[in-house]
Amino acid sequence: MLELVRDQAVLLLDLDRSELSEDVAFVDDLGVDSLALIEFAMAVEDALGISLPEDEIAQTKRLGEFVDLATAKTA
Amino acid sequence: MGLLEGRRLIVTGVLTEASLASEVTRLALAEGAEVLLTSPVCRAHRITSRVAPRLGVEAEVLELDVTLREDLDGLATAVRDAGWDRVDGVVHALGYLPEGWDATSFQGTPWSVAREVFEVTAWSLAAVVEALDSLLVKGSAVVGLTHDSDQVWGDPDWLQVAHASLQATARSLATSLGPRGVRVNLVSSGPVATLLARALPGHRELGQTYAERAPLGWDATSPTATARAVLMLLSEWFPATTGEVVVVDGGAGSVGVA
Repeated sequence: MLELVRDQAVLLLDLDRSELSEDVAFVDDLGVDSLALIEFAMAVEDALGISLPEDEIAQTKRLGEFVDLATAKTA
Repeated sequence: MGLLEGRRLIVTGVLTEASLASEVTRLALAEGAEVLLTSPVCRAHRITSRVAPRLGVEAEVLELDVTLREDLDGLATAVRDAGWDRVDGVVHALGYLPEGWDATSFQGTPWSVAREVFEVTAWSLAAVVEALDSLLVKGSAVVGLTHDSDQVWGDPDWLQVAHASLQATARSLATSLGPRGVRVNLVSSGPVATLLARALPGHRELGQTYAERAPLGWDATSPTATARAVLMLLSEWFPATTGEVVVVDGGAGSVGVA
């Protein structure tokens, strides 16, 4: 899951894979705004065939938290 | 036969699946309408294009940044290129918080920021209608989304001022388009947790206030009540109503503070 999420972050957020540790913060560390986060999350949804509620996406501050959310929705 | 059977609608403001305009689109399609979506270019357009098929819209999303003259000038042609020779309904659900937006600094907001808020929120209603004017026919309906601006909610901000302007703009448009049989109305919604609304300070508390005050209750997580009212105004069941604001807030606005 982590690698798939990283793949989409590299693709959608124009980030370097080396920046994408699990504890990196979307806003504070990467400067990702809410629109970018939504687009990234939708790409992950499409890749996994899952649905991630927007309010829960908005609560994920760090990459690892997003991975946890995606994992929970996949289960 | 559905409420909007065969009616062709242009819907602005679909960004995420939780957008009010997304719920309008879902319900309108279920009621037999055909829908074309618009979105500005870049990231917003890519997101809307991902959302469109999830809502059931197969047509390509039209590019429309209401701050760009060339987009407005090209809108009618883009609609005709999609195979439409008329537009029966337009949904205006546009909102924007520009860079530099500070909801806590009403008097300190520079004109450049206030102007962008006004341009996208209020002026664009007239601009979009003018851009589609040649496609509007007798019976067409324009419906915009707004919220209560008779009183200040939370900290004063320029978005609330822009919504007061939007309501005046709708009345003026209704006056000028009425003789052609084109209606212009607004739905004033209680707070709904859209992406833009969640960016406003105090939004969650405002939703709770509505839930406590509204005789019918209010669910800020659901756009359905507001979207249904939009559908009714788009339909032929309000043939003699124009220049009005239909309030959808669970009745919260009718209750005074004890």
